[in-house]
Amino acid sequence: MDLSRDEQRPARHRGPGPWARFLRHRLACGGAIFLGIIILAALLAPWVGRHDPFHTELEHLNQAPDAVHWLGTDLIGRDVWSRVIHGSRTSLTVGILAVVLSTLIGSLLGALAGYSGGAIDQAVMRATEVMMSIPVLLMVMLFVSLLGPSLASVTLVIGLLGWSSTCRVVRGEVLVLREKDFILAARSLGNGHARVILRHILPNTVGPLSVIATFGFANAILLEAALSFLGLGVPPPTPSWGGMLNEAQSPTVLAGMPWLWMAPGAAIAVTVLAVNFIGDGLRDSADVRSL
Amino acid sequence: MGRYLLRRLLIAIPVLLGITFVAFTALALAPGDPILARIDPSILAQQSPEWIEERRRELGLDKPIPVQYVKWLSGLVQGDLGYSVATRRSVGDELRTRLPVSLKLMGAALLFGIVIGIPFGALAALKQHSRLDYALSSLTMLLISTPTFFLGLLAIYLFGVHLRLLPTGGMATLGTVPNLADQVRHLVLPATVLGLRNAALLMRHTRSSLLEVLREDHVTTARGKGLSQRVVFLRHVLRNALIPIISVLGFLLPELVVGAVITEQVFAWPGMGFMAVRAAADRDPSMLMGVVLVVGIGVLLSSLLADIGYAIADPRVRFTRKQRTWI
Repeated sequence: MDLSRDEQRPARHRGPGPWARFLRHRLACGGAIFLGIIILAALLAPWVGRHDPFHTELEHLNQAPDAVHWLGTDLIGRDVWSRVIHGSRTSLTVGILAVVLSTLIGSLLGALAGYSGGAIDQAVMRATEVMMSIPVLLMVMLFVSLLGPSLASVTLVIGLLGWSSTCRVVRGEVLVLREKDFILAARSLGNGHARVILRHILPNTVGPLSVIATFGFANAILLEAALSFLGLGVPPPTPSWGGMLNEAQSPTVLAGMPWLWMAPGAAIAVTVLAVNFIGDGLRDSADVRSL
Repeated sequence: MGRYLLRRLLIAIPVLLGITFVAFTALALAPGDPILARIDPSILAQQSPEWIEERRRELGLDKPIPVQYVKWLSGLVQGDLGYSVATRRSVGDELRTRLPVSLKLMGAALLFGIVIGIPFGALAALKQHSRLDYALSSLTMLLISTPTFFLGLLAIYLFGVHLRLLPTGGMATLGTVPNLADQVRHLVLPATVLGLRNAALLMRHTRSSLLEVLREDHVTTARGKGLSQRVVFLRHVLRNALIPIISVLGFLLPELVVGAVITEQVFAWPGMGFMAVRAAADRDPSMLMGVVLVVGIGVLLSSLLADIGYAIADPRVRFTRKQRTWI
């Protein structure tokens, strides 16, 4: 009896739980705190930014950083610090909405494929291979060329096209889960397939799903920045980090006014780095090695 | 092996069709008269309306979308990619001149990534938990998180503007006789910027793959037999650890393409990516359709080659279907 007691104890009571393991991951905690600060700055942008991001001061064009304009002013006299702070709203909005959309599509398709198997599984897997063969940036460029660039089209297209990796991961999880006894039990109690998938299978994929959504969030921020840099993303005058670097492509700005592009560039890098650290921490604490 | 190969090839066919379908969807959704993207504009301008109507019927443009798709596909198989709506040039001709330019940049970048990424990844794994390991891991994380265009602008600022060491745009100095040294100098910065991200990704994968092999029993056995560290590392660890890297190389191509689109823009490198950005800005879906087709088929072929290479190197794959790793 004594020997078997340990066997019967659920796995989660052995050692620290996922939360404790995440908190032990120092870089991940640092990343989470930093991301929290950025989210706070985005929410409080009108106060943190100190200046109107759209207001042009014609007497202060191309001004180097000083006490009034912490990061100087741009070519038409707008405050760069304020635009960097307001730019976080664009990045975070696109990132969050796109990742919610792609996670929703990816997890539903993946669960459907893994649960039903057979022809549906084959069809969904071939579709993900198609999506993985064409880089998302190119797909987004293709559809932006049809719809024209706008905040909505960029978000929608990144969200609608980024589901393939989520789909693969969820399918892999579901293939294992559907053989478990509790699924058989749930079915035997008279639950329909849809209910089993939504109530019993998907909640059990939360670990890997959160990891992949976190990395997807980082990717969506990078994609929006890349598109705006290429002039295909969020159109001006909306402040966007990638867009601010787009304006820095002329040799005079690049060489003579580094404050115009170094701050937004660093903002993208540091935000994505923070999100990637969180993703690493989640991966280690959720114990999903395959990702 | 034969059966594995056959199954792998059969799976690739619907994916190939899917890629052409996505490309066609873009054409079908494009605004304007579809015939503009299908017939040489210089011919179109000289012909009578009756002749144009005749061609329209021939191309199936008056028929439902599925018929149009089949007609378009049969033209595609014969190498007919249609015409750009914006520049009025043949998409096929444009791609033929632009593709080698991009391949040169991507090839150099991939070589840089392999030469830097694999040795440093191996070093980090062998010295796990050392300061060097932490430094390299942090650096790879930073490189993966930094957008390529920011890295490119930093490189131009540092090496082009301040140190004046290297040219920062184009493939060669204008107005000079083409020579190899000049072309190589122009290649250095864009290839390095594009290669760094790949080096970082390869370093990460080499490290984790090596760590996994180092933990295996056969390595302990080899050490126990009294083999030297060198022999254990080269014969027993590295050989096994490099096999999964083959599949990573197959997966790097999409990353490389995305990076090339951005790098070409930053360094005014007149390749396919440079053209694609202009086509997107010009709202020219027929040209982008060509790029999507070329890239999609290229990525599909490279993942096919990687899978076959993997199956040759690792017999276990042929018998158990292994899930591909996700980058």
